[in-house]
Amino acid sequence: MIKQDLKSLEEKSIYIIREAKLKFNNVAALWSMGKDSTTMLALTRKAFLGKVPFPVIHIDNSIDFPETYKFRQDLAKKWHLNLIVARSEIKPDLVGSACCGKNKPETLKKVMKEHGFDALIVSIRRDEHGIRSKERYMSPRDKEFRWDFKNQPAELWDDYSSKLDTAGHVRVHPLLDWNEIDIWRYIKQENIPMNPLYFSRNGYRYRSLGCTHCTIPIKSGAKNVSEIIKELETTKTEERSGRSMDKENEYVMQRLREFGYM
Amino acid sequence: MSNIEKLTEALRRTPNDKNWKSFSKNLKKSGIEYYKIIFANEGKLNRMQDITKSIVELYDSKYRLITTVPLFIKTGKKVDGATSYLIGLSVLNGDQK
Repeated sequence: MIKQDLKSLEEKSIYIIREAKLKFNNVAALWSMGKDSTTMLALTRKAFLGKVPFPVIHIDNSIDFPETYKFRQDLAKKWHLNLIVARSEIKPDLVGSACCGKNKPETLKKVMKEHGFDALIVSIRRDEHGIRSKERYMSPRDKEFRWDFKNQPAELWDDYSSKLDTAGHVRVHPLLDWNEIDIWRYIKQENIPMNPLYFSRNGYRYRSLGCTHCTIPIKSGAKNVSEIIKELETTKTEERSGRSMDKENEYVMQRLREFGYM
Repeated sequence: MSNIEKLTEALRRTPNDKNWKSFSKNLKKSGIEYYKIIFANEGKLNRMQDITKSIVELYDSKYRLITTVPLFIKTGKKVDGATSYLIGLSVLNGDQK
């Protein structure tokens, strides 16, 4: 991968976010209170003179970390976010891909239908997972949220696929080109507020955040953003090594994304 | 019996919204600073009992176990997670013995 500087990554992301706002009638963004979606919101604020001009959705299955809830509460107030908390019903068979593959997409479908959103900004990155590298900047989903990854239009000369052929919606991915260390460097540069779970306490920190039952911390002494950047410069461990669903089998993420997972 | 013990008892008997609110208000006053979630069935939440049998251990600033409470809140027949009632606490990772 060609190493890109933060300025060009920022410019491209802001361009994509502005394009989404311009091309679609009713845009929303997903916010998990993690580093990527919080960075996406910071980029959105930069794109729209300090405001986030569309609703921000949190799919809440009610067993997120208390620190995550506190972060949501504080930042939503500070950044004046139009926050939609979509409560995902707690069900048995919650663990790993069943939770992310059924419960969360079902809740998202419901909230998208209720509000009539035709575009959804999602903060995935290509370097996170093999299947995410198949994504486009603007990627259509059918009304069942299905993603036909084998049949995607090319995106040449910034001509993004924004036309909806079905009654579905378009996923917008402004952070596709970023990698994990770019995100942390940008967080440092822009002094973006961050979920405290990312920082080490008692020798552990969370590198990738999900719900309490499917996320485990990694051993790390990185107590601030600079130390995280330093750690990432030398680590050989995968970012999502603490996420249980990624370990179920090689194609689980492909299946999840095909059927609507974020 | 201390106030937090009474509130814990009430929560164990009836983990409803009202009892969770009372418990949540008294968390900081009772010196609780950390939480640790212990999932039943080693985190494989396959049945509703795996959720309703999961607990939260609550510790003070010196990592002494103060009490344990259920992880869930019950409203009629509906079961939800209760971690939002623990806002203000920090997760306890690793061995702090």
